Amino acid sequence: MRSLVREDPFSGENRPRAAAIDRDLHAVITDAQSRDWSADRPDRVIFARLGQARRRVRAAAGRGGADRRPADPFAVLLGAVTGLLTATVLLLTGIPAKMLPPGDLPPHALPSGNAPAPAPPAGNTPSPAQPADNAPSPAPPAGNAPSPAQPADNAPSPAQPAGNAPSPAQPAGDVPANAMPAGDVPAPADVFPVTLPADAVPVIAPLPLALTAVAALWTALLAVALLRHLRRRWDRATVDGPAPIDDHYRYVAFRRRIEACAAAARHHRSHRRRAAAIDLEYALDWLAAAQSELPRH
Amino acid sequence: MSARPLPAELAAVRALVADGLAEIGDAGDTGQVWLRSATARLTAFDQVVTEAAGVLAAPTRLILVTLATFLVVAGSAALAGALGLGSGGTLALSGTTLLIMFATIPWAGRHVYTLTGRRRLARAAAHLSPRPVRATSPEAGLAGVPDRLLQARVRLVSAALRQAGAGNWSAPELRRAIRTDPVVRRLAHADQLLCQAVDCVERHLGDLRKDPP
Repeated sequence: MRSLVREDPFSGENRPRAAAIDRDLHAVITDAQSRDWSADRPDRVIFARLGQARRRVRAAAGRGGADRRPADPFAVLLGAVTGLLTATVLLLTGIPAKMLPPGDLPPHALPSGNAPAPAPPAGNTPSPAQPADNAPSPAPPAGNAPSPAQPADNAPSPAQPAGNAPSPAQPAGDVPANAMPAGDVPAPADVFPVTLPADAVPVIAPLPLALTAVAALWTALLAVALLRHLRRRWDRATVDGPAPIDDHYRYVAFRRRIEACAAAARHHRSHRRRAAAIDLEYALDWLAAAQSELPRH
Repeated sequence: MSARPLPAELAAVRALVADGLAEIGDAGDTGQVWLRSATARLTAFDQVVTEAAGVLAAPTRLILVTLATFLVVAGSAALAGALGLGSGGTLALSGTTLLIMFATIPWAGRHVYTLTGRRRLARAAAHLSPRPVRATSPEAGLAGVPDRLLQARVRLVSAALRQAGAGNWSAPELRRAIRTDPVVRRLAHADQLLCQAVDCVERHLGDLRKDPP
């Protein structure tokens, strides 16, 4: 019971989906509306009726509410890729951490001064470092200045780089690194101990990480603005063809696709999909009403 | 030639549409399917216009998003430090929080825009010149509603064109603006709803003309 209606072999999809029909209808409607606004092809009835058809198709596709699709998917993709690349480069080079003077940071962000901090980043240091971790707390100036001559600092200093970057000897730090989502910032855990100098601010401290995120965001927005500028230039150069809303064959293609979609939905097991067929029939009515307003040849 | 700001223009459009809606309600045929459909379209139009009036300016949006990013990443990194996660865990936690934040931005934006739009429209409507009481032609009744709504549409479209900028009024540029500009996109949606309401009322009037009650 896949298709009672012979599908259009040139419609570009062998099983018409309501979401795809919705997208194509939206393109036609936007084109007609822009031509109406620029007085190129003034008409206010046909695109309104196509809009009603699109509303029914959307209801059938199960997205009756507000338009949740991003307005410009390509720009969103470009911004995401640019932001991810920038963040990766900044994290690998550690530029925001190097730009910050170490004196401006709160002492817990420093590699060796974790004692006076309420939220020490090295809270998961292995147990041999724990007594030494509490030792410098009555002497904060000693904890801030990493001097290897002091006996209180000698004990935690080999443990600190391992506390900031997960090492194989540290099971608590390795679990989240393996459970990272696939689309996230790639953070090879074994890179940071190599690139991180011993006396620098760690890249993972809150302030450098936030600066990295903001820099990535601004680069992404810059890329999107550049894309928008280029597109405006391309738009000036394009010459409009005939309006797709005047194309009778397009209505025929839409009708076939909606009919095929409704026929597939009418015999579905789920009653919600069967109810979608009613919406699609309303959409067919509106499509016919829009086509009846076309000038006849 | 009026160079009024957008909220004032939209408040005037809303007043015209409210008049049309009241006339549809006065006609009394609320059981008619076309009139009910037109009323539903005009109600949705009101919401969309309110949202369009409340869209924040681009620099304000940039500052807000930057601030939110900074605070979210710094907070989640500090939280990861407090939890004792390693560098990979910190990156994963802050990245996930950032993704969640970006996913909630459209939802939050709709609410914020509705709130600010309501406030701006109320302020603009207070400064609006008192309109003459409606029903200028008493014989018109329902027959005058399409003209009134089309009058509102002319003002709405000219406000949208002004928002798109005088440089790009050709069809491809307007299409791009409808797709990408947040204000023009909402105004285009509102325009479509208005046209649908006019179409519904005209179909009702055509039915009345075919078989008078």
